[in-house]
Amino acid sequence: MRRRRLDLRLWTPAAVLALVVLACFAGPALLGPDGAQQALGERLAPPAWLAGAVDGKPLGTDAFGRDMLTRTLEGGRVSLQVGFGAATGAVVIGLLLGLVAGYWGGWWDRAIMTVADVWLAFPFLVIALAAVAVVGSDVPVLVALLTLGGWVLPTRVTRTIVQRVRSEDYVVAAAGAGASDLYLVRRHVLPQVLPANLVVWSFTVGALVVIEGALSFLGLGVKPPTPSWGNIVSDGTPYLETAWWVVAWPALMIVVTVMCANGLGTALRRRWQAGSRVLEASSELDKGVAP
Amino acid sequence: MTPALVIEDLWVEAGPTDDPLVLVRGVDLTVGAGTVVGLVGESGSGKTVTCMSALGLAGRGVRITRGSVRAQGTELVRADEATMRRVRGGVVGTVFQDPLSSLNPLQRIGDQIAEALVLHRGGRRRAHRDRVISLLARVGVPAPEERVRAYPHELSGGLRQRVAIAMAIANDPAVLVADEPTTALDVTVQAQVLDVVRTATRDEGRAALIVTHDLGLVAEVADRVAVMYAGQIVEEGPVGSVFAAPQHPYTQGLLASRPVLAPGRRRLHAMPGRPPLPGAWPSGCAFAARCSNVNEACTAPPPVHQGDDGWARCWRPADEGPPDRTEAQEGAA
Amino acid sequence: MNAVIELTDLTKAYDLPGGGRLTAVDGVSLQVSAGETYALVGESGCGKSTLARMAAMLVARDSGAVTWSGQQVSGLSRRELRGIRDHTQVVFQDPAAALSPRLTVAEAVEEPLRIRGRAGSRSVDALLDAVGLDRSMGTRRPRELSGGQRQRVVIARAMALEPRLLVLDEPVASLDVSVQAQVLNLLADLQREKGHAYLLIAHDLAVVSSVADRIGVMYLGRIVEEGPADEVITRPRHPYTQMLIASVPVFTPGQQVSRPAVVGDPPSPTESRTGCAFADRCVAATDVCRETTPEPRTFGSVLVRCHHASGG
Repeated sequence: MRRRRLDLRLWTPAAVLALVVLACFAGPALLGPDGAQQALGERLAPPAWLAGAVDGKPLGTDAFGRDMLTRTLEGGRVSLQVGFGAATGAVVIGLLLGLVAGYWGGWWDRAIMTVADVWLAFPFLVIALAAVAVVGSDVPVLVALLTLGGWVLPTRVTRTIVQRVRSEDYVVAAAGAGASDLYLVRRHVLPQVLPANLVVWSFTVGALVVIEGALSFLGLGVKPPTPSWGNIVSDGTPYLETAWWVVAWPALMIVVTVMCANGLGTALRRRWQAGSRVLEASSELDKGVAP
Repeated sequence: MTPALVIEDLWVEAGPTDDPLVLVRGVDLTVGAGTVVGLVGESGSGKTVTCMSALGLAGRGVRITRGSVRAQGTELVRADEATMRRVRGGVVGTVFQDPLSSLNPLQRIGDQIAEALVLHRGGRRRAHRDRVISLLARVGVPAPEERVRAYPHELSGGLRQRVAIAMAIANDPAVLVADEPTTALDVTVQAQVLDVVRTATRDEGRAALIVTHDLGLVAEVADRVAVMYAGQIVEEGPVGSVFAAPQHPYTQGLLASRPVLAPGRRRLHAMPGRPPLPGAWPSGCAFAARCSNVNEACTAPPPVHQGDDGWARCWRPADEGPPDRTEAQEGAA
Repeated sequence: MNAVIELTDLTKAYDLPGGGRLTAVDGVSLQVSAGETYALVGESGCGKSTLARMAAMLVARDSGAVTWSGQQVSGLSRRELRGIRDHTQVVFQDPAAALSPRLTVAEAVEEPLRIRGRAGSRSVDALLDAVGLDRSMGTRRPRELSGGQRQRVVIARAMALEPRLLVLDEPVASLDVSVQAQVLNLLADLQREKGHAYLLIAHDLAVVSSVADRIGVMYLGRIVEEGPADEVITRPRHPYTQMLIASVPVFTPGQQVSRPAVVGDPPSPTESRTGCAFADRCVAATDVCRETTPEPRTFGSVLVRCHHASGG
């Protein structure tokens, strides 16, 4: 297969996402401590290209005079931690459970899939609200909670793939040569399961960033003064008509992050499916069914 | 009398237009009324592409670049949709390899056949019920009045294929085109469906083009045979003479390698190498690399050598018979 | 005991999701000796593929025994079985599905050796040579190979552990005619050289007649006729065998051979039945056929399960 030029549909969202992560974690330190300080004299200052802007705070300030750029980037830390962390947790759980359900089947399969079905029947957001009310809402709790929200999809996806691969002739042949289950899983099953889970992970990141934003917006996520995109938007909502920038930047960050996560997921899925289609096409050619 | 189906100098290619992959190069084929022509070939020979693109049924990205296809005088290459719709089913009936995919799983078979009739003859489905039942009887479906209401999945593979044939001949087309009609079936069922094909073609005076890799099928049902290799027809003629005295070395090899039902373990005659795929066709004779009869002349494209009734595309067609089979029957030597 | 493999009264049935039972294999016994090719023929639903997998201990049996070179393997634990798996290897029908798309040819052929910790002890090159493939093929991937080449790779992989028995499930069904001949000759050569026993599953009687020493005809999970290949081909005694032979296309075109009628379709193995399984389709069936399951009868070296089979 010829090596083509870089697939931009994959690397652009990946690069932007990496940039966002970098900016949020390293940015505030580079910008200096002033941005996070309250400066009541500079409340609700507009962004640099509008009249009344304040020096050194190019994206405007919020109701407490804090620099929006710094605030938004700091807010990203929580949102991204929760999003990436919970997505990773969900996929890891999904991989393990899907593997057990798909490979060993039988009772394990029925048990796991029943739990999955029951889980899906519950309205997740409602449960999340209740849980937060009881356990509190700092970052680790949120990560755990949202992991529980996302484990079913990777489990299903993994299980389907494992069931298919397990019955493929080359796996049967390896078993026929005396391979142990561990070998078969390691050598044949996992490599087929990982690409799909990468796709699921990308989409889950996007979904969970939004959910975290929603929770924080409702006041049920991370509590101030710790910023999160959700609660920054929430703080800024009363000023929306006069100082739109207080809401715009964190909202924009959510949109960008989610679009990149979805774009990455789509590109990965396309690439992964294209690979399997090549093999199908060439075997069809052979049987004289096609040309 | 216009021959029912005429394919003339057909060239088919696929892929990007600036770097195309030629799949069929210059195929000439004529099927007269009441004759059954078998088009045989292996993978990459282009037989299926020839048949599918002639009917405008090839996939996206496959196109006819030269040549003409005429069914009962109507030109099909670059014909408009209306003409194609009229021809398909009305002039040319088709049967494909897998009846499971050519029949709608959600519709009763009687309705599907009736729809084919409605498409070309108008009227309502109910009005055609009698004809549907008689069609099913003609293809040997037992208890057709009851089977009319069956769904495809309730029928066995053999019955489904009979239904597909019934659909194909419903509008009394002048030509029947079948692509590997028995390949997906069990052997005992193949024999029965073969009988149906024979009834639907020769006995009813219909022209038929059967595309297959199965030489036995051709021997049983066809009047004439055309052998395809690397996008071209390399030999054509009456089935009896081609099979008894094949002129082209590939035909000889193909016939000799086919296992025969006979006692005694034996070594099979095997041609060395394998057919070249599209894109890898050599400039001279495509079979030269595998031919035991090759010489320097074969680096140039071979001419068509006319026989009494049939021809072979070869510089040195055999004047003697097929390779000596006694050597192959000496047991596991 | 000369038998490389012996199957005794094997049975396998599956529960269907909607209730009912599908009997795939119904009390089958057979044996194959070293250097011998035993061909199991039948149509879809007869259970031959299931039987093949049971013979290779890839599918668990419900009852009966599988014996490899005198050792009863059907009762062994999974770990014990793993240790002796090199006795029997399988060649599958579809070479595209039998090779992992992620492994190169060399990796695929070497895999059985790696699994048993014997990597490198037998050169992959030698195996590729033995199946007529160029050594440079080792770095290619399956998608770059033709069907015939892939099947050779599958055969090379099956040979890697130097098995005593090779179970071949329709090894040439998905190949072109000219390639079929090459692969069949290759298999015959390898057998002559190494003395493998072959259990060959096939539906094409013409192919089987050229390569088999003994033939077993299966119908709905039972062997209905079994004997030396030449006998079964020239003097079939069971009506089903006769029907199979009648279905093979005659190769002298234009010559209409009168054939015994071929009737009906292969039935589904899910319907329960009494008496002879073939009675519905048999032109010679009588009442006793529908009531009593025929016992095996022997005519010389041929075994038949039919009430009406005669000696000649």
